[in-house]
Amino acid sequence: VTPKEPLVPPEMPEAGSPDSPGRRLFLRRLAVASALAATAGGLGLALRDPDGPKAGPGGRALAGLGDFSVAPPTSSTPRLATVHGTDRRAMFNQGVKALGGMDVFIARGDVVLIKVNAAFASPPLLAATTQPGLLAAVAEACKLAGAAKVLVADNPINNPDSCFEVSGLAGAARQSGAAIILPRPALFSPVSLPKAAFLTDWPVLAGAFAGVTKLIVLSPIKDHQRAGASMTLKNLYGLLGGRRNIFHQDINGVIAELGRLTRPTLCVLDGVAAMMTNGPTGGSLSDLKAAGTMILSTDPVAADAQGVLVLGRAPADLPYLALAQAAGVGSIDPAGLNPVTFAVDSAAGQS
Amino acid sequence: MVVSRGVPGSGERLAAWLVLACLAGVVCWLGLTQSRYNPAVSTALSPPQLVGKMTAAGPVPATAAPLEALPDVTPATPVESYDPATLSDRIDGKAELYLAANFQEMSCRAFTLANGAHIDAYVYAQTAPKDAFAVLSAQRRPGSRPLPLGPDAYAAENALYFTRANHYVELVADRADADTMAGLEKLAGSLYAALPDGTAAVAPPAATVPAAPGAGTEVGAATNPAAGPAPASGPAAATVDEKALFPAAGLAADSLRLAASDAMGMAGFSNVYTAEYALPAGAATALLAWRDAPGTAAAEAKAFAGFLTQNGYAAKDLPPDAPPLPVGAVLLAADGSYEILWTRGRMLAGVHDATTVEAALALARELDAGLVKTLPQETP
Repeated sequence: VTPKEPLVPPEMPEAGSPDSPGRRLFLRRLAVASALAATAGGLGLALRDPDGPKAGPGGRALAGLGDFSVAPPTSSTPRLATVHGTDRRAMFNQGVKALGGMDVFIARGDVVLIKVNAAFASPPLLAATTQPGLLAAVAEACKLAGAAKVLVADNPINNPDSCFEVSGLAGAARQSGAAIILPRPALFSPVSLPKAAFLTDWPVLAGAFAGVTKLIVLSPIKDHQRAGASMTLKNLYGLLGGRRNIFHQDINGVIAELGRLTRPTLCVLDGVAAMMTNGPTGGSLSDLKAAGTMILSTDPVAADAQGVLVLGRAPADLPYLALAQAAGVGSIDPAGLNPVTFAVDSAAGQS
Repeated sequence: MVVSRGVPGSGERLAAWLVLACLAGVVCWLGLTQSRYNPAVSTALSPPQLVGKMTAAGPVPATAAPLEALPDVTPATPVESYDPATLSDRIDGKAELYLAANFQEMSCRAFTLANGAHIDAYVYAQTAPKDAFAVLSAQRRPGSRPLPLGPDAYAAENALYFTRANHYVELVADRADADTMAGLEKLAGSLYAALPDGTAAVAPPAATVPAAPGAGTEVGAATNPAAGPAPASGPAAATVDEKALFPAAGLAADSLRLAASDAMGMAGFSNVYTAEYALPAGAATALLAWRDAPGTAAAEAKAFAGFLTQNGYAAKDLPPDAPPLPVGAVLLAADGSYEILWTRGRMLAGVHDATTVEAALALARELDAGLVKTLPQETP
């Protein structure tokens, strides 16, 4: 039997009418949802800091990027190793072993920042930037030693994406599980080194050091038109922001001060293919020499003093080394570092 | 209309819980991802402004146009251009080499050849052709292969370099093989043709000094890209091409250079041409620098002699067999290194770092003989 009239309870208003419970419920829920959305949005707006974090307590400039150096396990442990060979991975592994092993430098849970030289959008063949194979070897060694995170950073100024990609460093980082920190304004904070002549209230890539517990500097050994040679200390120039080319007028002074900006855990100089002329860009294979040398040290001045020999020059040819030594950054004379020199064949470091 | 609001069934409840579980999973995933936040993500979302990127509003650099439409290559990047204030953003500490040689602007672009090779092309505009020669000669790779493209063009294993008028060009490949080199040479030809030849920019000289014998085909040419500065006026006005004045005998290939500034390590000693020699008596370097007045040339010769003296050299008397050099010529010696300096009117000449006094005297004799013959107006 089909009723002629719809079966509507007498107390239930017609659906869609202003008094309908469904409509009231819908409106109530809509109001609640809108209020929640407005609250969340308002909270986000209220908490938003368009200027990013302050440079330091009270917004003052930082006094440096920190000391990441580690003490050698014994007083007789070498702190400078010169390794000859052709296989960068093998040379690095054996070099670190000579300095006491990777465990001396990296502890479980460390956050490691690897400062590379990614200054140019230049292919690895030209050796104007850190070799991707070396970066991969170092990043993997850090992971193997228990590092919780491996970060890779540089500030090439011009088109960082392109520099990291073309140099092969982005691919090496991806391959080894390291994260690349590309420079952006929020990562720069002003730094004023105590009694500095150059690095006063100057923007530095400090954001890349957030949470970092160890710092490894990977530098190619290169001729440099202005500085004489580009190695560890000059590589730190890549941490500066701003119009840093004004420092070229006193390149030795600023490079020496860069040694006081931070103290690395380990410095690695790659002279397997050294750029002997026309640096720092090079461009021709004839600018390179198969020098077959890698230098590892905890002392950036000592590393550079040995590295410049690869270029056929003397430490005295680089005035910034003496300035850095006078500032207490390190020692030109390697005698106190128990230096070791040895050769590695290509199969020795495959692990 | 009937509204039925029945109690949800077990299936509906299960579906609701599943949806809520999915949402909770998404929330957990977001939280976890955020805790592993990579700063590179935000940079990728808001990339830093490219320093060298051209803006549509500004004037288009002249060096950019030749890179816009080159045949047989595929552009891999847009053209980027740099001025004196931004050059170091691209080439870092090497910028000083160009800035010291009156740099104006640079444009660069990456290309891909048909074989997949990556090519970086750089076109530098210096103020004058001699400035372009200065930056080329300062970086000349020893043992490189000369190219017929131009008088200074040469190729290294993976790269090619040349000048045209006031432009200096670098083409750099990411590999070194015959196929890539063939592509580089083809690209160089196209780029050379696309660059202005300089006739519009360089004023024609008032006169041309004849070329020295045996000094090369480009010697003395009025449009020689490395021609020296023309004297301002006077009956002896001439375009002096220092490159043409170096003797041919014993000249080491590819050794001709122009130091735009701080020649021989002396601050302020600028625009000095040098050429290296291997002579029977030993090795030596000849130097020539054209100045705007005889007094200027003499003053700079004296200043350079003083600089050498400060660095351990001592003056010696010219021996009896010395060439008949003008009054004021000096011989300096230090630890097996010999220098001779003199002037011929507005031309400062010298022999630098000779390994024996005999080599110094022999080269001075040859060099000065050429000056006397080629610059008679400078030899009273």
